[in-house]
Amino acid sequence: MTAVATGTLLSLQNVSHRYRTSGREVNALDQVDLDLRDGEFLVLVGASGCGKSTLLKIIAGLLDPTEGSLDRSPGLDERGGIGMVFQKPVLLPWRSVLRNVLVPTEVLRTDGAREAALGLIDSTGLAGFEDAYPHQLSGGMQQRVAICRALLTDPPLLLMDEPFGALDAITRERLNLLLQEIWSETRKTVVLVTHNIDEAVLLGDRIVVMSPRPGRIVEVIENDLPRPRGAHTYADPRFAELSVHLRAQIVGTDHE
Amino acid sequence: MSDRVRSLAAPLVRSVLIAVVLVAGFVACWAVAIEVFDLQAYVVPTPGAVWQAFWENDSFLWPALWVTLYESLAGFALSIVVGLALATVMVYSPLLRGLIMPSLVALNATPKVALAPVLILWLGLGVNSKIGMAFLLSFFPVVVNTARGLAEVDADLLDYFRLLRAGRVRTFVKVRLPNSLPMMFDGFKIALPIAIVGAVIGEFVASKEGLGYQIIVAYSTFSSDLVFAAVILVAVASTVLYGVLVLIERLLLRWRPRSDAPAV
Ligand SMILES: Nc1ncnc2c1ncn2[C@@H]1O[C@H](COP(=O)(O)OP(=O)(O)OP(=O)(O)O)[C@@H](O)[C@H]1O
Ligand SMILES: [Mg+2]
Repeated sequence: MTAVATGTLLSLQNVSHRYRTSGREVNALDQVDLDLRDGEFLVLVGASGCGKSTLLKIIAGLLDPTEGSLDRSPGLDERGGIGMVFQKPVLLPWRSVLRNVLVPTEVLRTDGAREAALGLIDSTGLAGFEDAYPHQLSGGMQQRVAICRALLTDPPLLLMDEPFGALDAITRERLNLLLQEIWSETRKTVVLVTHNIDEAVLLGDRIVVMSPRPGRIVEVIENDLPRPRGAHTYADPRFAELSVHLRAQIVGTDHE
Repeated sequence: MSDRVRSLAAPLVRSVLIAVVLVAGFVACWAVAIEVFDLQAYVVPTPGAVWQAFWENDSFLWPALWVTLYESLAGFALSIVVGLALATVMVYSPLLRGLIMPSLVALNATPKVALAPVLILWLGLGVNSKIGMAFLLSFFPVVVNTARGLAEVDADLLDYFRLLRAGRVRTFVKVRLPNSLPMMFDGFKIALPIAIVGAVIGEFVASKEGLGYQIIVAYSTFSSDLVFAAVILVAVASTVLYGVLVLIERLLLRWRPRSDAPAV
């Protein structure tokens, strides 16, 4: 592994991934080149099956690409250097909210995380639910717990795989804004996978459009909509322009 | 705290009340049936005779019960230890899983009752062969359920622990084991009564003590009142132990969503 250039957190060169199951091969990712800029909010969009989750797992180091190379800045290789949120909250149902948020530091055996955990719980609007069990919370609240858990080690990189995909539209928009707030306060690098076009345009600094079979990057859009974005952003003519463009791209490349 | 105790105790009190009503109904039907069908005492003794037989012989029925319970619980404990060990091996090694699982299925398919004489030959007339029977009969549901519980963990959750580089032992202790507890207890609840059956069968075949032995002795002297007393004692003890198991389950699995389903 070579060092990445300054200002770059992670760099993928010519990364491909093939899944092999029962003799059949799926070309999930094909020759992907991508640099993650330090502090940016990057969104991956594309139709189902275009390799977004595969790409995210490769970035997380959970999956080794079958081809290509990957350079990471040293901070990411530390334990707890990457936070991750999944489509489902995947909390430990036998643990209270607070003890769920504390999982990463417990595994890494670091002390003094309790204050940080309580702070995160408070700032995500979960104060008062520290001792509740996950099943006693709504889906949106559970996902907020998962976000707190991912942020506890203060990782430079936060990966999110359709974190709000299972939520209703209202909760989703609220959490979109919460996420923007967290990002602008902490200046973490965020990679968000979504197939919600409004979400992509509302949140992304850059929007990476992917196409399926084989999974490829077809376009990278720089999104210069002014921040902070919010309800007013939807009225911005540039928002409409970008959404229309994205819709055409994604629906046009969906062969399903 | 007292609220917690109450919320755990309330369903238990209800269960006990239901049990009392059921038992009373059963005894009444029993007494009526003897009258209606004019049954002989050596075929079906009256509830009163059974009650009397119990208290006349309780000086050896209680010690016999402790022996049987000791054998059953030792066999059941062995099932848990061996079951957890085998299940753990199967979760981590697909190769061994492929060897162990078919063997277990084959073992489960054999009429284990027929193995009682063999066990007595190997382990002797004493408690060990009965512990062996209790173990043999009860451990299949424990292994199968534990293995399922250990294996059926959300893939994303395992990925998350991999991201934290938690390692196998930590992931086992923090994720797999607690994840398997509900299913383990489902297995225990099947296994515990079968363990008691196993011990009694062992005592039937050859023994010098225990309730199974007392039942055989009572049969040989046509004391059906004593046979009934001993059988009922086994049933009551088994039910009480099951209740204790359910209580432990409720204590350990307090985090589970409350359901209105009755305690089983
Ligand atoms: N573990 C796996 N084994 C075999 N094939 C897989 C595996 N995971 C994904 N694939 C295949 O790889 C392709 C890309 O999958 P991936 O999950 O990365 O897509 P995605 O963009 O995240 O889709 P979605 O939006 O539906 O989550 C799909 O065709 C999928 O069938
Ligand atoms: Mg996906």
